[in-house]
Amino acid sequence: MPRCANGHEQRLGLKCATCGEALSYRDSMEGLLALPKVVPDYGRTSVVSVGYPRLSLKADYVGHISAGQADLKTSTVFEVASIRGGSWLDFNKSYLGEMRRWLTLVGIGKSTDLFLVVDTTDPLSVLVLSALPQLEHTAVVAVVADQDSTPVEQNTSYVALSLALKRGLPVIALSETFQRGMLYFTEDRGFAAKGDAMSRLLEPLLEAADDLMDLLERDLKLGIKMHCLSAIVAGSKSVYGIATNAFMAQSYNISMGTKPDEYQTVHSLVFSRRENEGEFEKSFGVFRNRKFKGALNAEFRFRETDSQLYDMVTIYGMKSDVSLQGIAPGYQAIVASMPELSAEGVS
Amino acid sequence: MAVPTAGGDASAQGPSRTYKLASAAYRDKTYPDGILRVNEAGSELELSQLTGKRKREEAVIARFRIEPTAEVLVDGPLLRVSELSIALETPGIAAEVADILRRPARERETLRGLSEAESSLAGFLETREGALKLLSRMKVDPRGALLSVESMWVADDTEPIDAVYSSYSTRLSESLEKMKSSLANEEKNLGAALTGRLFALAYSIGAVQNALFEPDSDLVQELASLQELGIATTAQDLRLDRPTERLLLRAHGALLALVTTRPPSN
Repeated sequence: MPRCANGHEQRLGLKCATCGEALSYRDSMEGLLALPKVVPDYGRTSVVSVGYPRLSLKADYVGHISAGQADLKTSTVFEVASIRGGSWLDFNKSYLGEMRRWLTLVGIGKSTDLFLVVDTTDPLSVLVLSALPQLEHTAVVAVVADQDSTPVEQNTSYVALSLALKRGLPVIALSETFQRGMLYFTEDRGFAAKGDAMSRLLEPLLEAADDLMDLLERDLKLGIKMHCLSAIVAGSKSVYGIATNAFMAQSYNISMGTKPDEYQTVHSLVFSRRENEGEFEKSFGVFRNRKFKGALNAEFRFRETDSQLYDMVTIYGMKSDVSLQGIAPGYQAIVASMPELSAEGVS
Repeated sequence: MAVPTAGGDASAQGPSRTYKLASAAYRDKTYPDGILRVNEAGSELELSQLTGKRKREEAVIARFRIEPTAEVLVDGPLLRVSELSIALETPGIAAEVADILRRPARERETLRGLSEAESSLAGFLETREGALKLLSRMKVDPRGALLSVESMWVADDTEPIDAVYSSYSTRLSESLEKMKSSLANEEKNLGAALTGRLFALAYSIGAVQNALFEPDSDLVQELASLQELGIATTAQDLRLDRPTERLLLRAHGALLALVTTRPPSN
């Protein structure tokens, strides 16, 4: 702070207010070197989509990673130029460093919860999961190759899923066939298919991000990393009748098929008007006892909404290798001819 | 003997001083009983001679402008400038004339020094404004802010935000040192008072930058301080883009006024 010849300090001005002497600023300049400390706020929920350039989601941060015409980096977009005929390994070789750098610059993992929405048949999925630092409160919503996918897609998907599991990330898997068949209708927004359907499915999940992450992390402690899901979007009493029917109906269209006894946990998140909470909770109990009596854990979470229509999402915890088993043959077929495309080879 | 004559000679610009010469030599001709007129700005000279029987009439021998780069040599009562050699009545008077004649060169040097000093102030303050602008953006858009200064992050094992602070800290230290060294170098031309004013200006603009970083600041003290420094502005004006550049531009007029109203000699 500047001071006068008599040692009086004063914030600004030319003359000392105490004695009238001239103020000297010469020895105060170092005070201007200090910069204010900023603690950036990265928000509560971040979503990074991989292979879905047009996913429309509501979160504090939404980033998109995809391959396109040319390299492009902004705070919300990481687009790499397509590599003609490129495998996940080619993308890793070309972009791993840049990807790591971008993820750090956009503060990946600095929000409370992070969801990666990943098309694991896309070569960039391996790139992103390779580049990802070790993070907490991070989950992967993964579209996974299935038996209808090509061996190349199965190989890519297998490697990406293996990476996610190796990093200890909880995964909610949707088979490619399930994802292709997703079709939702709401009176106000009409039909939603493909990317729009994915956005519509993720919308309630992201609204309940802390509940969802809590459930996934509880399962993680039980050693359950892999999940699948079923959902009713914009359901109503006139379509499904009582809530138990809705729980039962949605369980017939699960995002990744397996035997019922392989589901180890079952959790439902319901978004509806407050007066319906009791009925949904009671029906969840009936649903669980009827279909998942042997589940290690089952939890019901309710979120109040204003809408007359309700959303219901149920996630099912299952053994990790279930999702990999179905695509292992395609993965192996590729590795047999190109050993460098094995999951062990990924950095 | 010096006789200041305010506008005494219609040919001279501004007030002038008149000196009686013991002798004068101009272009290889000598003139006894010469009279020298020098304008106060030190830029014009007039050599004349008393003529007539009673030596009461004055005939102008030469009138010329003195370039600011012209060398003024003094040796006792003798003074040489351009093609003119004169002997004044005393060494003190010769020194006085030399001082006047050296004024344009001195002012030129002062203006050059001021320009250097202002440039160094701008270097430091604009670096600081850039840093604070980035930190302000960091509060609302940390990702975009960090990506915009990606080149500052060179070591992958550090946090980007730490790298930004570190880079700006280095830049600020360097530009502050440069500014201080420039002001120290120019102080001999600018004088202590003007140099002190430049320090006050730099610090006050820094205080404005700090206040602008805080969205709730009313800027009252800062505005009063700027007013004292001869810069009239408003809080609204300060919140426009590039306040530092605009403040320095406005300060320039006040600083120039200080240069021209300084005492004739240090």
